[in-house]
Parts: sequence; structure tokens; C-alpha cells
Amino acid sequence: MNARAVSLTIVAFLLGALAAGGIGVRVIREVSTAQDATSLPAGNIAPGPDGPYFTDPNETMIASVSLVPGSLEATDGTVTVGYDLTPLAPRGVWLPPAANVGIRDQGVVLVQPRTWVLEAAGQSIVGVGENVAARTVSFDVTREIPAEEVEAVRVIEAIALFPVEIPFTLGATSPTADLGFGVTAELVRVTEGSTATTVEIAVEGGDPTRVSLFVVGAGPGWRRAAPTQDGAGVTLTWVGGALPVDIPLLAEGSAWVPIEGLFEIEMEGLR
Amino acid sequence: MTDDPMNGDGGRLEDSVYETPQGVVDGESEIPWKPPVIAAILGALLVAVYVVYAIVTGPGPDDVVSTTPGPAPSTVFPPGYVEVANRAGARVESIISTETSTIAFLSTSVPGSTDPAAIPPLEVAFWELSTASGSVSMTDQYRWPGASGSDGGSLTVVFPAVDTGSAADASIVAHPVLSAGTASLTIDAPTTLPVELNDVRIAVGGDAVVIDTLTVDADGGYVQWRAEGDMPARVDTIVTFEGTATGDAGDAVLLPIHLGAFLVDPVAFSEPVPVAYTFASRDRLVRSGAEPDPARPPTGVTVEFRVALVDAVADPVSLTVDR
Repeated sequence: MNARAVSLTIVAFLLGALAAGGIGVRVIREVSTAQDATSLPAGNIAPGPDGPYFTDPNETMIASVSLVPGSLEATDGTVTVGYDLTPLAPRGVWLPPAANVGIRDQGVVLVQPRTWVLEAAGQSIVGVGENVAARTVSFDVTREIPAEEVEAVRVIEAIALFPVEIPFTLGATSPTADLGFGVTAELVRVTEGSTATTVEIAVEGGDPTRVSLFVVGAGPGWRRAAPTQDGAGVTLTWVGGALPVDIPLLAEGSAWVPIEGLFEIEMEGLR
Repeated sequence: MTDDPMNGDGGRLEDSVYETPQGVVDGESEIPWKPPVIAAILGALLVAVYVVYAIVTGPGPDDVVSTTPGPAPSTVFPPGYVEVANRAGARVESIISTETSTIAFLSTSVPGSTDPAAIPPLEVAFWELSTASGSVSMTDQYRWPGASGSDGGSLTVVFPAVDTGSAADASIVAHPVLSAGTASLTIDAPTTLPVELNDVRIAVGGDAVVIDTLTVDADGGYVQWRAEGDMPARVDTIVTFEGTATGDAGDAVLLPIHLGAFLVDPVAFSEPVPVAYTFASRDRLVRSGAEPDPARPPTGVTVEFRVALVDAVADPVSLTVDR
């Protein structure tokens, strides 16, 4: 067999392989497409997250906090969703040494996914986050719901905690003041003593789970404020001479403010 | 295999299949067609076997290759946030009106792929509320004492009471801090309490901050100050009762709290916590360090004011109220 015959034989072998390969690839594609179309019901194909993410592809952004679903457990009469929260708020700040400063050092994220809805088997069940430190929410179900039957989970109410400081005055001619958030302050009693004047103020109204305000004296002349015995008001001590006609006061504390939006939880993160 | 009529050597029968014949019978091709045809069939069969194998076994988990790019870490701000300064963005969450003020609640964020711990909290000199009826400047702004990342970046801005009208027409305009001058002043106060100071002027560049009044006793105090010009300032006041340290507790110190509801008294800070800029402030002074002890009166009382006064602001940034 000469060189020409060998070359022809090799070329023929390659041509045969290429021809078969071309047909084969097309067949493989068609078979693969048919398998994809039949292996999953169309309704179960979730439109997976395809956009850029901040901390996790399955996250849901609530303001600047990334909520990442972590677990979905169904036990007797309860479905529990676990999640994590990661704030993106800038925090590169020098702080002096601190130990006893209330909530600041507890690593608490002051954005709370408050009210949730779980949908499964035609039911919509409401769950409420217990507090700002919670990382699970429970749904009481009327019948056993396997975890795989949960169709959707969403946050329908999210809130964020903000500092509030409201200057106001009270006096004989204006004994009440609307502090906002449904809270009012009322001048109850003024008692003059030999060295100090006691001012008693009632603070009423407002949803205690949404707003917390404490009234203090504003400006010099005030001693430390103390809550009244019933806890519904405050007693202030004035040592600054004659009590001003318009008593300068300050309501300070915090309020939970709603974050607008409906926040769909990515079910991929719960599977 | 048959005997090649053109090759009489039976011992070379095999070679005859592959060799070009020396002579050709009329009507017969000069090309040896059998070897190429057999090779082509062999090649096709080989590939066909692979194709059948591939279909039967299907793609393995590692064989799945996405044809579209998957999700990737973001490099932009979360939805609704507008960069205000130094890679810190803000958006308006809510705005309410009370009898005396209009209060805007803002949250802050860094862009994606940015470490929040590497970005300082948003420093805005002052904010303006712009409505269809005009524009007003803030009266105050505050965040949690020593606002850290755990606070969610909450920022509260207070304006005079105005009718915000349609939220679609309203916006809140940030004037970020571009630069600020600093100055400090330490005063040796009398050891006889209470201490009272009035009208202390502290020059910073061409402007000044005026301490209108400061009153101090052993357990607390009060300071009221204002910026003289049209730029806001930040004033840290530290009152130290020297010679009062006991055990682990250092000298008794009075520090300002701009918003004190969440500070547990006595404050455990040894230095003032950073606060937001404002045009004027009335701060309570709360004790840190050693408990007052009449048997150990202070040997000296120093009052230190540390002042930062904004001297330039960056280009304003507008945030819509109605997102």
C-alpha cells in the first residue's frame, strides 16, 4: 500500500467520524431537550435569581439589610422558617471603649422582618417575628404541611428602628402636647418646694411595641428624671429658680418605622 | 479476499489489496476504494458508539454548563439608595409630621462588594427638605449613640413643621461634608461645685462656636452651644474630676449624650461617642468613671471642648421621598 492509499484511508476515516459526529451531536441535543421538558413540571421551575446579589444569591433586600433564607422545617402544627440578616449600613467608625451601652454592642440588626405570610396547599398562614433578635419565624398550621408543599414565603411588613427626639413645651395654657406616633404628654401636677419644683407628666398612647418615648427636661436647671410609680409618666425635678411658663421638655427614645414593600423570599434558599 | 489477477504472487496476496496495481483493466478505477470506505465506516461506527453511550448515560452533574452567566456579587447600591458621600448611600424610608416638626427617617448603605466596616457612617453637614412650597433646612439630625453597623444605619433628620404635600413633589437634599476645621479649648474650672460657664467663644478658622452655657455638678450637667455662622458643627464636651479615681474606675468624667435613651447610666465610655453635625445642640452630660465620693473631692476640674466646624460642603445630593 503506497502513501496515497494511506492518506485516502485516513481522510476517509476522519470524514466518516465527522459525519457521524455531526448527526450525533444533534441527536444528543434533541434527547437532552426532551428530557428537560419532561423531568420537571413547568409550575415547579422557579425563576432562579439571576441578578447581582449583595451577600447571597438567594437573598431578599429589606432596605439595606440582606435577608438570606436558611431553613424550612415542618413539625407538628408548626412550620418554621430560619433566616439570617446582614446589614450593609456603613459602620467604619472609631468608637471609644464601651461596655454597658444597651443595645449597641449586642450585634442587633435594627431592621426586623415583622409579619410574614406562608402559602401552602391553598392556605395563607400569617407568622409574626418575635423580636429584633429573632432569626426564625413560626407559622401555626391547621393541618400537617410537609415542607415540600410550601409554595411561597414572603415578608409583608418590615420595620426599622430609628432614634427619635422631640422637643416640646407644656404649661398652664397648653397642658397637653401631641408628640407624634399617637403619643401625648400631659402636665399633671406642679409642686413647688423650698429648694426644688417637682413636675409630674403623664405620657399616654402609642403602640408600645412600635414606639418608646421617655420625657426629660430640656436645658439647664433639671435634675435627673424618674418614672412615675405607675410607669405611665415621669417626675421631673427643677432647680433652676422660677419654673418657666412654657416648661421646656424633650421626648426621646425610638420608633419602629415601616419599610415599604412586599418582600418575596427566594424559595431556592429554603429547599 | 480474492486472488488478484494482476498479482501472481500468492505470498503477497495481502499486499495486493493495498498496492496500486501496475496495470489496470479497462473500466476499473485506479483508486483502491475498499480501504477508504472501510475506514470511513469504522470512523462513523466509532463516533456512533460514543453518541449512543452519551445518550444512555446522560450528562453527569459536573457536565452541566450554564449558557448564561450566573448571579454575581453586586457592585452597585441596593435599590433606591443614592450615593451621598464616600461610598455611603442613603434613601428615605418615611417622613412624618408632628405639631412641631417634620421628621424624615433615612437608612444608609454601602455598595455591593464593599465591606461596611471600611466605610465611615454618612457625614452630612445639613439636610434640606424641598417641597412644592419651598425649601427648609434641618433643625437637627441624629443617629444612635456611637452608631455602629449593628444599628442598621438609621438616621433621623428633623425639619421645622411643614406641609409636605404630595410626596411625589418632595425631596430631601443632602449637603455632604467636604472639610471641617477643628479646635479645642481646655478650661481649668474651680473645684467648688456646681461649675457654670457662659458665652465661651471658640474660634475655628474664620468662624466660631459659642458655648452659651455649661452647668456641672458631681453627678451630671448640661451644655448648650451653637455655631455662629451658617455651617454646622460638632462639639464634644469632657468634664474631668481629677483625683477621684478609685480602684478600676478612672477619674469621674462627664460626657455629653445627644440622645440618651439607650445609654445606661453610668455611661461606660471614656470618650464622647461620635455624633452627627448640627447647627446648635443642647446636650445632657452624664457621668462615667468613678462614683462621686464626698470623702474624695476632686483636686481639680477641667472642662475640655473639642470642636469640629464644617468649612466646606460637597455638591448637594437629592433623595426622592416617594420612591
